[in-house]
Amino acid sequence: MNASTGNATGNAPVGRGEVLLAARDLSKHYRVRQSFFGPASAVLKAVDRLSFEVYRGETLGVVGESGCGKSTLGRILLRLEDPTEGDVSFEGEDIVGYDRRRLRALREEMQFIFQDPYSSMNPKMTIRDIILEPLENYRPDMAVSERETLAGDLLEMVGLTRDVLRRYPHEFSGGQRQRVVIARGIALNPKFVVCDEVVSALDVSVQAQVINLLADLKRRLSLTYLFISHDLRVIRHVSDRVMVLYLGQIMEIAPVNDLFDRPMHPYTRSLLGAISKGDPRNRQERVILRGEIPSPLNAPAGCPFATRCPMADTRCHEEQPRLEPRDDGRVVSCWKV
Amino acid sequence: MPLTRNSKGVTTVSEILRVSGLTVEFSTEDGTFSAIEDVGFGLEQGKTLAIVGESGSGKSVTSLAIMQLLAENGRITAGEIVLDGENLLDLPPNDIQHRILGQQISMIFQEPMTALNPILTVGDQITEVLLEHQGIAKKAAYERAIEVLREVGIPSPEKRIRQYPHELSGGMRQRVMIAMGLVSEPKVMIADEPTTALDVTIEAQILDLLDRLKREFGTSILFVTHDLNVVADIADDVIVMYAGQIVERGSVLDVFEQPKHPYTQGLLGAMPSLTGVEGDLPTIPGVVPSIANRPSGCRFHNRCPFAHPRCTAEAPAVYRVGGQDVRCHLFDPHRSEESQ
Repeated sequence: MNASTGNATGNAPVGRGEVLLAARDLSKHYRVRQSFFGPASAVLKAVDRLSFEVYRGETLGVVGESGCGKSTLGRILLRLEDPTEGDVSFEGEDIVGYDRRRLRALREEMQFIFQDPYSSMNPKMTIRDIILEPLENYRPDMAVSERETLAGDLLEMVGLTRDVLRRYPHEFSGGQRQRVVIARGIALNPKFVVCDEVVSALDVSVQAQVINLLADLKRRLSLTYLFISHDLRVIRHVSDRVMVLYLGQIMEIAPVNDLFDRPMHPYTRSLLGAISKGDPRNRQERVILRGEIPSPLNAPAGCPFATRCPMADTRCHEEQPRLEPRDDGRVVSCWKV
Repeated sequence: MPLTRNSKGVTTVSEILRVSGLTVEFSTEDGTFSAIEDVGFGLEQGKTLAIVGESGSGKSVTSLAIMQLLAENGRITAGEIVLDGENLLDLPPNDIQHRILGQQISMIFQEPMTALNPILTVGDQITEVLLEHQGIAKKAAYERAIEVLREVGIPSPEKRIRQYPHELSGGMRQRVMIAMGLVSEPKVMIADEPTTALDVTIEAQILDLLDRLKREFGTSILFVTHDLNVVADIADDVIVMYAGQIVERGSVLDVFEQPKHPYTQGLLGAMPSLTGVEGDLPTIPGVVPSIANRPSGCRFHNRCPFAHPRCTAEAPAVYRVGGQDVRCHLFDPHRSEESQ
């Protein structure tokens, strides 16, 4: 079975290929003091029992609203945070148990591109120093002239010019700073890159440029992306497969066209129904989902979506559904479909 | 019904707000720059007019100028803002403060947490405008506040009215902001990116609410946004701004189906589609120029695929093309052959 969904972000044919990264029952729970003087009683389940694979060469889009755990997930996969439970394997090796030395080696292969380039850059560092920071850590024996050349090459690769090496972040626009952060992210030639809301703060015209750049880099450097975004249009454009999160749990994972054309989970349907079609002649009634996302501190006992789900019955409120694989290559967590 | 004349001298019966020739300058250490220039439009009674643009387009400066909320170093140097027949720029500041702002025009902002007062209850904030300016008794004001909270879809308003902003979710806070803007039954409501900070399912609820207010109460809405998809859903008419000027104006159907200005075409093309199109997205090359570095001639010429020598040298006039007004040399009926 080959659920081929050739897509904008690189032309790697994606199906059931080689697994690059796999998560099993991955959870991150925090103990939270509910009031300043009270006991440390409540448990916040930022992500809860996530199991999924990322195939080599694909872009796995991760979409969800506030509190769904998408950013926490990215941080755990790169071991910037430790999971409270569960396993992550990368190229077949369990990386949760890695010690510092092996983690350091792993970080060459896995990189993070952050959302807000300005706050992730030291304003006193030049563009050269920002881009070369990972190389100074990981390639201390590389000659200065060689490094300089590489920094220039990286800048050109992300669509900037070599002559900006001596300049400072404040001299750049948001889109240009995002390019600098991307250049730093690919400096060590990683295999796996987590992009966390990388185009969300950009203007439409610049957003399109950066999306195209990421696609181009993916093709040229054979990258695999975990692409986190709240923006369903961007997710549709860049992803080969999409994972939908709600309150820290997976609702549905499906090839991108299946997910957008035939969403199965009631939450996926609501999410797609809530967004504008971008066509003033076709202002179909939005699906207005009642109520708000419950606090992850008081996550419902059964299905996390049951409090807002138009199809929910008693069982949904009491018993958590399991992620069930379907024939068409998707997995869905719902009692009703 | 208000009677006003629009810029072409045609009398229309339904315009509630008419802005013409509006120019705003900011003084900075590096000199004086005009943030917006010659901005003019009419907002019709019971309609939603969207101002759309990217950062630095001047869309927010336009709305802040109408509300007279410009920063200290900003100044309106030309133009008229006519609300229901009165030019606000001719009125004494006292009159503006007490009779116009919050009464006849109100504004809702992107981030309600910074716009709401954290140490006042929801009820105190909503009733403030009634108690201060309308001389209504406190009890009646609170009853009205509860009524408005119910209208904007806040459950158990009798309880909510005693809560503080931090006790509410983002969506609820935005509803409180809308209730504050609505309580004095303004003629015009300015909404500046009111859904940008919200999750999609909550955004859908708020857009639905604004649309209902327009239909049920005849509120005229000036909707400022960077998001063309929201415009497609909520606007009757659209203004597209670029680098401080209006580059295109028309009905939402005309602008989306037959965009005339190369910038409008570029913006619509650069939006990722929901139906899934393969390959690279069309882009607009380059970046939006900063206020201090706006190009000569047409301000879009250095990013425009149709630019010709005249565009660098001469600022384009506004031409009527089909249903739209377009600021572009391409539509000059007298343009010579060699410039094409």
